[in-house]
Order: sequence, then C-alpha cells, then structure tokens
Amino acid sequence: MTAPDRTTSATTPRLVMQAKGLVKRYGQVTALDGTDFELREGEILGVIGDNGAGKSSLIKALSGATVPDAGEIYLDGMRVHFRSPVDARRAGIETVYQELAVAPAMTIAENLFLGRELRRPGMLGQLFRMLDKPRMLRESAQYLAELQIGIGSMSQAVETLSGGQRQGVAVARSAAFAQHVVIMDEPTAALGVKEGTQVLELIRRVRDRGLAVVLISHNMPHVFQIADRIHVARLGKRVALLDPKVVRMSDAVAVMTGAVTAEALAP
Amino acid sequence: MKLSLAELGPALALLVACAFFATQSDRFLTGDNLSLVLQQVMVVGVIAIGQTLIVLTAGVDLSCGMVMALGGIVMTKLAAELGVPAPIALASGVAVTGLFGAVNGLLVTSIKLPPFIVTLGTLNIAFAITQLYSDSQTVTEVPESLLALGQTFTVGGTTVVYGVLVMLLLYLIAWFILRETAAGRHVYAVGNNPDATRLTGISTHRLVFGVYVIAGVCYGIAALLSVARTGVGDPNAGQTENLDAITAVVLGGTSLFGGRGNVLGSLVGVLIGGVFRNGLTLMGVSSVYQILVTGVLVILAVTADQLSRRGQGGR
Amino acid sequence: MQRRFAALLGLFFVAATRRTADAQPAQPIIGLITKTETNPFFVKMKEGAQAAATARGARLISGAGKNDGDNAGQVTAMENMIAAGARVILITVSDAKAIVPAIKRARAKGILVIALDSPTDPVTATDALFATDNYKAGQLIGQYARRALGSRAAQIATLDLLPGHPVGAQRHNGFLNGFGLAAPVASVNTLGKPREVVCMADSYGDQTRGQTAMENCLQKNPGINVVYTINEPTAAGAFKALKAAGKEKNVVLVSVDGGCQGVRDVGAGMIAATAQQYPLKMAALGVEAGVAFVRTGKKPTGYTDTGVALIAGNPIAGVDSKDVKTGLDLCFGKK
Repeated sequence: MTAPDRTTSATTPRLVMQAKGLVKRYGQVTALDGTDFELREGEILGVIGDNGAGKSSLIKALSGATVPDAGEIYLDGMRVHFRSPVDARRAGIETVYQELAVAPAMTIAENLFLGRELRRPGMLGQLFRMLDKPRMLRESAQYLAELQIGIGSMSQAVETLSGGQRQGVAVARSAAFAQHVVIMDEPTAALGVKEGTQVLELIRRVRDRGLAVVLISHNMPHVFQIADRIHVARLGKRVALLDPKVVRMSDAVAVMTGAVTAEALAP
Repeated sequence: MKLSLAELGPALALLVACAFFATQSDRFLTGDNLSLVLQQVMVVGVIAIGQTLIVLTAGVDLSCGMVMALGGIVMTKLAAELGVPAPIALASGVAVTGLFGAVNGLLVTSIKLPPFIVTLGTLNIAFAITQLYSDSQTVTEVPESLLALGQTFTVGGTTVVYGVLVMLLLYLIAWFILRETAAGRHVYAVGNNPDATRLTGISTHRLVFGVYVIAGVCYGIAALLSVARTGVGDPNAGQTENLDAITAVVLGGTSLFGGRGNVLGSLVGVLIGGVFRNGLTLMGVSSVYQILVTGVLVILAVTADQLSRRGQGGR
Repeated sequence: MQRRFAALLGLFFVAATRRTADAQPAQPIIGLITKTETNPFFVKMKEGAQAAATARGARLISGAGKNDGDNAGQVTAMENMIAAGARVILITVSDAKAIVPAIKRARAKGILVIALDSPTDPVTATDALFATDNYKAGQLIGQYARRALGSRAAQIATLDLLPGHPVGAQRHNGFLNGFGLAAPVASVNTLGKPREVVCMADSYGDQTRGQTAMENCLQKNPGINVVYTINEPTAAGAFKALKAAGKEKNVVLVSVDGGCQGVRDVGAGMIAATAQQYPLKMAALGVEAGVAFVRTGKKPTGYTDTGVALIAGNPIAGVDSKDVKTGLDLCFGKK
C-alpha cells in the first residue's frame, strides 16, 4: 500500500528518481523498513523526519554511500545499483554535505574541480599530466556566475570566504557536475540566518537550471519556503507526500511525529 | 600568485644570512665554497623532499635517516662483498628503503596509526637491522661505479658534484608534480581536509600510501648520494637527519598541520642549515651557535606561518 | 595412609629445598653498562668482561643506553641489574654529571661501582676508575705530529667531539701539550686554542660530519698542515676531504682509539698515527676487582691507567711507537 499522495497535480511530471521497498538493517536495528521514494523532474523535494526515522539511511542509499539489503532504485526509469558514492556520481547524482566538504587552503577553482581536474590538451596533458589551470579558472567563474554567486576571484583560498559563500562553492560544485539529481544533506544547518537564506536562493537557482533537488532538513521554515513537495519519513518508511502550499507546518510536524496520520489530515 | 610572508620569509632569511657571512669572510661567496655548501646539504636535501611530501599530508617521518643508512649499507655490502653490479646494488638499496616506506604507509593508512608513532617504531627497527646486517662495521671497499655521483665537473672555474645536480633535478620534478598535476594537488587536499577529499571520490588511502613509498624511494636516492659523498657505507650515518629534514621543511614554510607549503621552501631550509654551518666555521665560531640560531629560526618560521594565515582570516 | 603420605611428601620437599640452598655457591653477579650496544669499542669491552667473568666463575649481565648521551637508559639498566642481584656495576658513563645520583644510591646499598673508560664528574663519585689516560693519548699523537711536520710552521685544525665533553677536552689539550704548545691541564674541560690552531670544528665523532668539518676548515685555511681528530671515523671523513682537495700527502693526520679499522687506515697511509686504547683490559681489570670485592670485600680505589700506545705507519726518532702489525693484534673491532 503506497502512502497517500496529497499533492495537487494537473499532469504528473516525469519521475527522475524512484525507489521501491528499500530495506536496510544494521544488526538488530532496522533503519529502512521497505520505504518508497520518488523525485519528479525539476522539483525540490524536502525530506523531513524525526531522529531515527530513516532520513539519512535513505539518502545514503540514494547517493551510493550504503547498499540497501532489499528494494530497487530507478534513475530515469532504469534500474541502478550503486556500490559506492563514485558510482552514484558517475550516474550524475551529486551530494552536498552538511560539514562543508571543501579544502580550506585551496582555491575556489581547485575545490570545484577536486577529483575531476582538467588536463591540458596534447602532450603536456597526456605525458606530463599537466593541469589546465586557466581553463579551470574560467569555467569555475562561469559556474558561479550561473548561480549568481557573487565572488570575485576564483584564485582565492576558500578559507577567506564566509560560511555561506563556502557552502555556495559546494553547491556550485554539485550543480556544475550533476546530470540529474542534487542531494543536499542539511545544507543550512551550519550557517547563520542571513547565510542560510542565501543558500536557499541558490537552491532555487539550481532547480531553475533544470536539476531536481532532494533537500533533507530539520529546519521546517526553510523546507516550507522552497520545497515543491515534502517526503515525510517515519520509522523507516515514507508515511506521506505533502504539498507545502496546502498543508500547514504544524500538520506536517504532527505527521512526522506520528501524532496524526496523513489520511487524517483535512483535505 | 600572491606570495605570503611564510613563502618569502625563508628565501629572505637565506639571503640575509649569505650577505652577513660574506661580510665576515671573503672566502664565503667564492664559487668553490658555495659549491661545497651544496655538496654538504645534498643528502639531507633529498631526504627533505620525501619529508615534505609526508608533512603535506599532515604526517611526519622520523625514520628517514635510519632508513637511508640501511639503504646505504645494503648497496655497499652487495657491491663490495658480493660483487653485485652497481645498478643492481643501487636498485636493491632503493627497493629496501621503498619497502620501509610501504610499511610506514600501510600502518598509517590501513591500521590508522599516527605517523609519529609508526615512524618512531620503524626508526628503531631500521637502525637495528642496519647494525646487525653490517655488524656495526663501516663498509670500505666500495667500487668506483657506486661512487659515480661523487664525481665532479667544472663550470666557469668551479667544481660541481654530479650529486648536487641530481638533488636539484629531483626538487624541480617534485615542484612540478605538486604544483601542476592532479596527483600533486590531491596531496595538498588530503592534508588540508581528508574527509572532503575522500568525499570527492579520491582514494585517500592509496594517495597517502603512495606518498610514503615515494618518500622511501627518496631516502634510497639520498643513500646513494651519501655513499658517493663519503666513499663508504656507514651504519652510523643518518642519526640526526630526521630532525634536520623536518627542520628544513618547517623553515621552508610547509605547515606541520598539512595542506600548505612549498617543496622549494625545503631546499631553502636545507641551504639555511648548510650556510650557517659553513659560515660559522669560516668565522671560527663554535657549532653550538649554529644550533642556537637554527632553534630561533624554526620558531620565527612557524610564527610567520601562523600570523600570515590569521591575517587571511583563516580558521 | 593419606596423612602419612602427605607427611612424607612434606619432608621430601623440605629436604630438597634445603639441599639446593646449601649447594648454591655465592656466584658473583657483575653488571656491565656501556654507552651503546653497537660501538665496536664497547663490543670488545663486553667480550673482555664476559671472558674474565667466565674464567673467575662470575656471572655477567650487560646493558647499555640507546645512544651516546642516553643517561636515563643507563640509570634504568643499573636499577634492573641491582634488582637482579648484581653486587658490582662497571659503567662507561654517557653523562658524567647526570649519572652521579644513581651511582650514589647504588653505593649506599653497598654496591661497588667502577667507572670504565670515562670518568664521572666528580671523579670520586665512583669507587674506582679504570681508563685510558686520554690526556696522555693526546700527548703521544701531539709529539708524533710535531716531529712528522718537521720544520714547517704549524697550521693546525682540530676536529673535536662536542663542546664540554671531558674526554674530548683531554685528548685535544693533551695533543696541544704534546705538540709543544701552551695548553690547559688535564682537569680542564675547555678546549685550548693557541695561535697555531687556525680552525676548530665539532664532528660529534661521526665520519660524515668529520668530512664536512674538514671541508669547511680547508675553505677557511687552505694552508692547514696538521689535523687532530677525536676518533678514527672522524679521521676517515677528514681524509676524504683532504683527498678531494688534493692535500692528503702534505697534511699530518692523527687520531685516537686504535680500533681495527683505524689501524688499517694507518697501514694504508690515511692516518699518520693513532693512540691505541685497550677496552678489553679495562673490562678485565674491572671484572677482576669486582669478583675480589664480592669474595673478600676488598674495594679498589683511585685511578688505574689501562695503558695507551702509539701506533704509527712510519716510526720517527724521538717518539716511541708500535708498528701496524702490533696494532692489529691488539685492536678492537673486526680484524
């Protein structure tokens, strides 16, 4: 039995990513208990849930950090098996982490291209494996400009930036290389109010560029500000898919804690 | 590229020291004397390349000097006593030092032991093996072929030792790789933020392991230079080279916390050590002052590094 | 029946233990602590001590510091040996002053402590000292060097150990005295520097550092014609530097120790002369005195000179020397 989908829709858009019946056990503890998941093209899907609801386990399965014990994952309609985060990245899924995964002493350009560096053409690149630094600088500037992140020089060390700008770099990195999905795990948790709002704006622009975004967050106001739909996780399952334009924040929290079932919500 | 105080400082200190000693002795700035200083630092210089790589990953290698001594003994004993041809003897020595590097790297990456502790252990193991294998005897009948890098050539009236060219070449190669290749940038990244590096899909274990092995190979090359310079295989060589190399790395502006630094700075660091030793002897001043000055310089270097980072708003 | 059996068993055990207690003679246990385990000088010392102990029915336990200057290691070894029943400690001290409190504690327990090779500071901290007269060793090579130099004006380089070391000072000052120059007496720890000494550098007794020190001295004074070295590895390094500068034929290079490699270097013409010392004799005398103390309570006192001899490739009139062959017979290290 699938959870009731209380979203309004005229025509149902294409599903970019989908999962059915995911199960994950850690010894005696069942983290995922046959949960479903779906992500539409061009949407921002907020994922909320109490501690132990299975949010992070779900995200780890989708980003390849863990392999589920049972269940299926589909990307663009095709079945996929991720054995590692690299597999997921290769499939075009990028993840932004809570703990600012950037190397502070290195430049913005270097961080953007870390692990995906561009080499010079010809002999210099092949034999001497020399990096094409000017090109990486140019392209970094482009990526940041597309997201309207206002940072002057790509040669600055990341540690000279504010927290919000650093997270901006991480978001820009994921948007630059993602082909389908960007997963964001508590991206504003380590930031102050003003900077958190800046990052939310960024996330909207990422969606506007055509990428689907999965946003895990404890911050209800943030989720209600930008999510198109909300996936509620509870006890390892998806218990509801809500429309933030229709449902109240307090109701969403009630479903999340189990005080109220999704069906019982006033339509 | 903006040069911070930490990067310019060492070169400045070296220039000031040279200028000072030039005023104190008219023999200091001669071609022959400067060539001599380069000869005297070439062994520690090559060791410092390996040490720089390891320190960039936020590690440290206390075993470098002892491993070098072992490499030297292996090379010379094979060539002198078993008549093994020089290239094979050399390769064997480097293989042994590379193996020690691999052991260090394995313990640091797979068992996740702190590099300080690991290399403290391998330091003692290398020393013991060297003493046992050599029976604590210096190997003296070393064939000429192993001493090739000690030969000299003349340029503009100054004799230069080939070994010095090897050291300079290795520095250039190291500098190029660290600055211009992806693998080099990854070394900086893994020292700066290992988690972030791992999350981008880079295999940090393989990277750090590789760094320790390359360092081991450096120590083997340093062993060859040491043999070429002294003409013998000395089991008691390398006893303080670990501290000398780490001092050179710190003086050169590389941070012991990893992720920041410049391998050319380490070259400046070893030169500072050599210049002071040479200059103070020319002045007739006791070697104790050299030790004092080195200590002061180390503190200045680390302070300059800290201040310049705080100035950039770093955390 | 069972009670009788138990009683018999008990009697048996009492008888057996009484017998073993009576059968045990008082085997003297002697502890030997050297500076390091690996220096051939100390290896020879240990061999000599072991042979002497076996010949006298004593048991030798040995230990050492980890390196030159490791005082803590020697203190630990001493405590362990005393706990193991040693009544005599023979020690080549790494740090002449720092070891004194530990020695005091040992002597307060009635342990006999004899210094070998290097004196403590003060010398009276140990019951006795069996050592080379390092000042005399320096004098012998100084006398030889003076005559070997001939009528040339001396320009002397000294490659010393490290600042403040008593043995280094004695050899250095003895050399100057034997050479005929003004020098401090044997009890002084500072190095004399008359006008004729144009370069003084520290080698820490190490071959590579000896080479560097010699190179730098030659840069300072290309006219150096006499080189005093603290020990033979330093001399080997100095020779390399002299050879590279093309000066090895005109420079008189002298050293101290008399290790087999050093004596071979004298035979090869690398070192002009070396003062040979006798670690084996130090050890043997030490064990002898120790066994006498355990058996009769007689303590040795004062300083006993274990002898030093000049080994020279070319004998020179006016200076007594032994030849290389004799030197090789008496040397320590790999023959």
